[in-house]
Amino acid sequence: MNSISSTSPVLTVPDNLHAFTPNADRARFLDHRMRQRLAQSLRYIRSESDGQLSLESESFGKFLAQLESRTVSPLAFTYYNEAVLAIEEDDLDRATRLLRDMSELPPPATTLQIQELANPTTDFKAELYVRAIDTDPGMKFQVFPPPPHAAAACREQINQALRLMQEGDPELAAEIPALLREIILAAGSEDPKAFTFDGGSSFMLWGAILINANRRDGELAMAQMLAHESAHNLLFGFSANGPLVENTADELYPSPLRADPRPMDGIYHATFVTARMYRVMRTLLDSGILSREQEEKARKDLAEDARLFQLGIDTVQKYARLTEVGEAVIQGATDYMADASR
Amino acid sequence: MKSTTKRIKLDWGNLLGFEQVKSAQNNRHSAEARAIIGGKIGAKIGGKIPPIEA
Repeated sequence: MNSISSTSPVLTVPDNLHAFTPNADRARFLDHRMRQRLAQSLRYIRSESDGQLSLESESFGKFLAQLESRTVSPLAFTYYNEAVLAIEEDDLDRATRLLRDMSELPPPATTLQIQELANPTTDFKAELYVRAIDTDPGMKFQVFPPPPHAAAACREQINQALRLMQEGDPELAAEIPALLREIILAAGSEDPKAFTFDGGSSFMLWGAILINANRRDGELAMAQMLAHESAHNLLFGFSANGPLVENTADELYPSPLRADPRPMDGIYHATFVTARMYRVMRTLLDSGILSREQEEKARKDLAEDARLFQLGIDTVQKYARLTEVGEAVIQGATDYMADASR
Repeated sequence: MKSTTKRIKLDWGNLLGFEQVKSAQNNRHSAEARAIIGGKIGAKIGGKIPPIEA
């Protein structure tokens, strides 16, 4: 990124910045860096707008200061994304409204919140959550507020999974609330022919994940889901200063996980998060706290995760044009998986 | 009628997230640009995916 005038403090980069092992301190650094980058971007927009966006208000200035000093709502990133696109469309009234509403977002709670999605057809913030993750024009899916009984059951499952990890994988249990501010419970279509989602996350929803509350597969599967979605957020955090791969989005490659060819960034993500899913299962299994039934499920999932990782990494190694960060990050996953399989 | 002139010209190279797709900024015909202009970047969907055909 070009140099931009800013009063941002210089962040101290951790030594283990791209390490594969979960680390809560590293996650807090990544969050601070993302916020700092957002503040820089917003200052740039203000300077280029030359007064056309009404960004001289006290609340906008306070919001910029807040970005530098404490966590913000994940929706701040979504509002920013929408505002940039509005500016590109020359819809400056919409951009102004979005940036004003962004600056008035209340600060998030200090602990990880589990919330239910409101109705995206009537609630603009709910619509933004959905727009942030439903991004593939070739694969649209429906997102609804969760039924109350499903939300209650899912909430309990999430808490059980977090308790399981606190006992059996404390590193990941500490990293997740450092990476995430919100877990949003939603629901997808129950039509067996419809494409639906189990979970979702987005660069432009940094710090939040969506989970389909209609899941009924137990705390071990939920632990994998949390490892999966938090790993996507980790990769977004690594990408704050640039991409992990240089392949463009219209270069498509055979994917081990999909029938249709996919962009390399998606294959890279899928490969890395599979390694993180393997890691949480391996760690929980080795901790000795799982029941016999859970151990059996963990072993099956380990085998599948290892298989999918190998397919993914073969594709990455063959076709990816990795950036320096991209190479360091995926190498960590590759080294872990190689050690774990011995 | 929508204006075809941008009153504010941003360089995506200076914007968080958008710098990663800077090459698509002025190419409204690429799939990348369409996805971006539609308001969406980089979502990752976990879970159910179309099965790999035999």
